[in-house]
Amino acid sequence: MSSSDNMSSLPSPPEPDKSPCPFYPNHLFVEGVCALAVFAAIVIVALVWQVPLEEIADPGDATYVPRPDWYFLFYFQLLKYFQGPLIVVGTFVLPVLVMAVLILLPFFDKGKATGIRKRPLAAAAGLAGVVSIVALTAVSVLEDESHTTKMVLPPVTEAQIAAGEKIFASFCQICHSIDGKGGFMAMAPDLTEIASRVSRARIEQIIIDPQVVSPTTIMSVIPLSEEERHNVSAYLSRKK
Amino acid sequence: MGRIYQFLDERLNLTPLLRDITDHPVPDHANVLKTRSAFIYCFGGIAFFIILLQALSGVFLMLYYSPTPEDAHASVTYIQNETAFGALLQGLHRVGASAAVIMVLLHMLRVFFTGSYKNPRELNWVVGVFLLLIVLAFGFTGYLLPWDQKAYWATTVGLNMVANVPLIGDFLASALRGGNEMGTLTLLRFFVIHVMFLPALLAIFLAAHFFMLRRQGISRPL
Amino acid sequence: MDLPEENQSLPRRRFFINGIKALAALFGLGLGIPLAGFFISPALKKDKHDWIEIADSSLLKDGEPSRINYSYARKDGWKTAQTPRTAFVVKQASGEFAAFSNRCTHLGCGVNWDSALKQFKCPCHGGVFDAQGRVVEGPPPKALTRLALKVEANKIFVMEA
Repeated sequence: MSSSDNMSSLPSPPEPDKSPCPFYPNHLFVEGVCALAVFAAIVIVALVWQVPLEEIADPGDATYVPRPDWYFLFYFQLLKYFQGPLIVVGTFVLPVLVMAVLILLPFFDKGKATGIRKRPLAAAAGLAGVVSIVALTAVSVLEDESHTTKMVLPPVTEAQIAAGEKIFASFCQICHSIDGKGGFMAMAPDLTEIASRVSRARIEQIIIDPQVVSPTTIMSVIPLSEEERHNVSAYLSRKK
Repeated sequence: MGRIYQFLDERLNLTPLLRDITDHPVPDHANVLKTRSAFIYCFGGIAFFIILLQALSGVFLMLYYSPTPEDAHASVTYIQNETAFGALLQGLHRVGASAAVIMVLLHMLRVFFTGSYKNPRELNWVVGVFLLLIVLAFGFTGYLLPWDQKAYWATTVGLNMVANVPLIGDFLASALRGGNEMGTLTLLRFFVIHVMFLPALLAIFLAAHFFMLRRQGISRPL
Repeated sequence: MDLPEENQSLPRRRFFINGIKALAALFGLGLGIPLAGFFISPALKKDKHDWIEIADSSLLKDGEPSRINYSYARKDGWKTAQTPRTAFVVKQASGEFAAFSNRCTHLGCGVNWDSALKQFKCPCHGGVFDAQGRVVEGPPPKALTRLALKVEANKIFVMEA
């Protein structure tokens, strides 16, 4: 099949179409409906999932656990397996190889069949690619779950919150304002919406070692017992 | 409306151009009204729609954004808290980025599994692969802009990966970073790459993508 | 190539075509080199490093690496920025001090000292180093970067690598 006769035959459908569907307005309308559905979905997700803006970048922070956006997670996970001198395989050789295979794909896969049932090899390769990416992403998420559960926090109860509020009032409110109260001389950040910025585990970390926020912070270590600390973090985790 | 069109048409001969765009038939196998499974042919169009959405929300977000390490985080907080619809717009841009990646990947899978990359459409597949890379580059550069912890550290790791490229890696990473340390120059150039370089590149490749699509038509499964 | 115009001689046409190519090359080089150089110029500059006082040697615990946060002034484009840094300083058996950058040698995440296991751990891709900064497991290709260190009058100074 030479490309020239292919070209001339392509724009018209194989069998003469009895009622050809023009791009405008018929098809554009359908596309528009699809687009509207997608748009609605994006708006809903954007509204429900408040965009997480974390604390300002701190190059000196030694406790932050960086994770890429979800679509790079599989690659992030993959990098764990290439060690020592093999790192370059993960960071350079493999990506270049994958890209080269993708780019050159149509030039070595020259079979005429396009239906997926007639291309078992391509189907298997494509499926393997998809499965391995999904699997790597899943492993990455699971490994992180098992790591972060190290800090066991008791479930939040109303009693804890009430106790936490008292402790907060006597230890923290001198510097930190909350709901418009306390925070003399604006020495420390307002915590009215703390829970929308940081997780409860992170709050606990900050109480244990205030320097995790910033090495230059003037916040001192507050002598709280473990239970008192859980109470405060429970109280603050409701401040959204 | 009709008069204005007539005025323009007389002078510019628009009708053949518009006819070409509006009347070209969509084959049955890619038409949801006739074939139920044709929705898989929608992904590319939706990806394009999301890209337009990203461009629009992005241009407006720039009204309040300041690309310096001192101001970036505060300006994003300002967008979220003190501008009307700011949180929505920023959310749209952020979620839209993920949606664009999903749609581009789905589109790519459709093209792969329907064998649409084969003769005569090889070149359009190649252009498509570059479009995927451009979309990912948008994601990577956009990620740094809020200058929050996640932004900083993800970019640190990303740039160190670039530094692993044999021979020229360190130089390449320094050039992208604007020095040996992430800072003012890094944020500024990531911003400029995100809002100027990449959109230009994207426009060129998209134009090529669509040109080839119109010339070659939508593939049909054999 | 296209046919020449009726009266235009072939050499003449060729001259113009070559001329256009030459012009394109001229513009390409004349613009391309300055633009590329402009883009990469920050990468060509070397950072200057000075000694930075980071801690009082008498305050350090024996044997256990201490996390020390410090910052130093760095030229950042057109301004001078205070750049926060973290190092681990350890008093070795010999009595000498050693300072390690907390940047993982794999891809640059910040490592932490796990005092229970006596190891440095990277939160990103699972690199582990021992108290001397040597790789124990995981991807890191080399030991933690040792910062140049000197002690003067009980003050510890380091220099960025």
